[in-house]
Amino acid sequence: MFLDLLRGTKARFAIVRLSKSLMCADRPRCDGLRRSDRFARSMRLLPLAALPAAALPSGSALALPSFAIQTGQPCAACHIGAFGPQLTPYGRDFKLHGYTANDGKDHGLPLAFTAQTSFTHTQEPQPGGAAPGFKPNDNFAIDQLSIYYAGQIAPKVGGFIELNYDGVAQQALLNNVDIRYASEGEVFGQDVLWGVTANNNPTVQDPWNSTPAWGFPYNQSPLAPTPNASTLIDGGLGQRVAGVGAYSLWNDLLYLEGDVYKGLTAPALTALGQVPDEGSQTNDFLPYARVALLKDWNNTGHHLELGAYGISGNVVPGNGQTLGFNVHKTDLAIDATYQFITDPAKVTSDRLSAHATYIHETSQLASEGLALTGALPDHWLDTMRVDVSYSFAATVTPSVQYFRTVGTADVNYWSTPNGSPNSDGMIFEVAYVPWGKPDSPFPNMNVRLAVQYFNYFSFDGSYADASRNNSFYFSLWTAVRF
Amino acid sequence: MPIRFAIAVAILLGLAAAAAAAATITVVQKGLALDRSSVSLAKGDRITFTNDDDVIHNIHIFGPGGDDNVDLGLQRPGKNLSYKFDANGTYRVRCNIHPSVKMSVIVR
Repeated sequence: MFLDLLRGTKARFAIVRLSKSLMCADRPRCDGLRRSDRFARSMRLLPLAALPAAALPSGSALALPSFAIQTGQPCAACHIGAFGPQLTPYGRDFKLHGYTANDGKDHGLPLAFTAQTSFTHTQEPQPGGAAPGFKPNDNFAIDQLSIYYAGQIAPKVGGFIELNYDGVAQQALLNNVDIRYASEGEVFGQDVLWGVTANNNPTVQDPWNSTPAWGFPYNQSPLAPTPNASTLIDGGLGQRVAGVGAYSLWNDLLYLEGDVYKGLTAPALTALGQVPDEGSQTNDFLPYARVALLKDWNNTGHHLELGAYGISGNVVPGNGQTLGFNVHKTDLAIDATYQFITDPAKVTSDRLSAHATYIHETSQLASEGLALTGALPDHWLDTMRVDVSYSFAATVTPSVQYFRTVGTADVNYWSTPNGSPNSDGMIFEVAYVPWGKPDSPFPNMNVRLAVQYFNYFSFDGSYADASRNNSFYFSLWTAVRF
Repeated sequence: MPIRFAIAVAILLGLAAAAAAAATITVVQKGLALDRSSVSLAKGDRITFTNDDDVIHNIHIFGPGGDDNVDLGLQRPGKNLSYKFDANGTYRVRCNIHPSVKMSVIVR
């Protein structure tokens, strides 16, 4: 079946390229185009501009077998449900120590390969096709093929580098990157772990799954509609910036981090597989800050994190949203993670975990853009997510999430029918992972089968039509170490 | 009289030897943590490290000299590793696989 899918996808290649070029030709230009014209066009394109998730930065990463081989640990030691990216306390520790912990043996280069294949059914067919080259409904797809360098690079230096082939957009790209140096010392008589990170996606370096880059859902359909509005830190800068930062964890209690990001130029974005106009661009420096308080009750298996994070800077939103004018955005967020491990001595013990985040974004449109766009000068956008999962024996993991985005309604700012950015709904998922445990027969390989259901209560400001965007997503995720 | 004297000397010597014998303590490794963060020993005492988890551990001991360290190797579930502390000073013990599994040992 996998080979059939691959052959089918390759056969679509020429059609997809042609369709993409037509879409680009029809995309509103920023120069001199009045907002009303742009809006009329965007309405025509709404079925496509409903932003299939393929247009969003990918968040894939998982229980990489290269990490498992390097440490001699099964996937379940680092990941809730024996498959990433949801981290256990040890998984967070491994990441904060720069992906360098190891069993002392030479395992060669830490390379891994993953493949995601899927079937998507939406409640209503999507006119014109779910994506270029795909049917309006009931599509099989190769979501992603990925190669990773994931593990130790040198003593105290490690990295996670993902090269992606997006099977829906038919595009190779550099996905998430996080390269670290980590060391230890003492401050005020207590242990301090500190490090330096170079990465390309704000929050990809974060060890908690309550921040956007590694938050639930851990994969989702690239062919189902997704809401139009999202905050800048919620994937808006993923793979479109480069940043460096420093972090510290003092006394296993206080986590502090500061980073600075710089937007990549259009030629650089193109070279790395991104489409410059399809997402936020910036020439600005964007400061990012993170603070968290944590407490591990190791004996009883309870783990708690309470934190805050934020980013600020000038960006030009993608898809001509503001006709190329700058918007100054500031995102401030709070988050929490709770985990309960029923038996800390067994990586296959049942595990309860819960995450929550609330992001508040304020935006100021550049004054010179007000007349041309007709948009309001100030907007706000809030996103909230809460999810809970329970992993049975690191094998079957049901999860549920409530998500909600609300903000300033403005028909000249949001490409939604009534100008409202509001959406909310729930996600239900059950994942099955047969391997990745201490007694698993294939330490170099793991698979994850999952079924996921998106249920929208409102979608892009509409309650009446929200349910047409509901979707079922069946996915098979395979991870192999070379 | 000589026999009684010899018995008394033997008993005293036995008691002295027993008092001077090195102690062995057990440190339990469970739930990806050691059951204590530090311990004080006499020179020549020994620690036995258990592995009560279901995953592989490691015990690496860094001596008071800074450069001297002993890697006891990998420790499979259920296996014990033991080390005799022969020099005065402060040692650091940690698992190379699980960086937060660590403790200090003070030998006087």
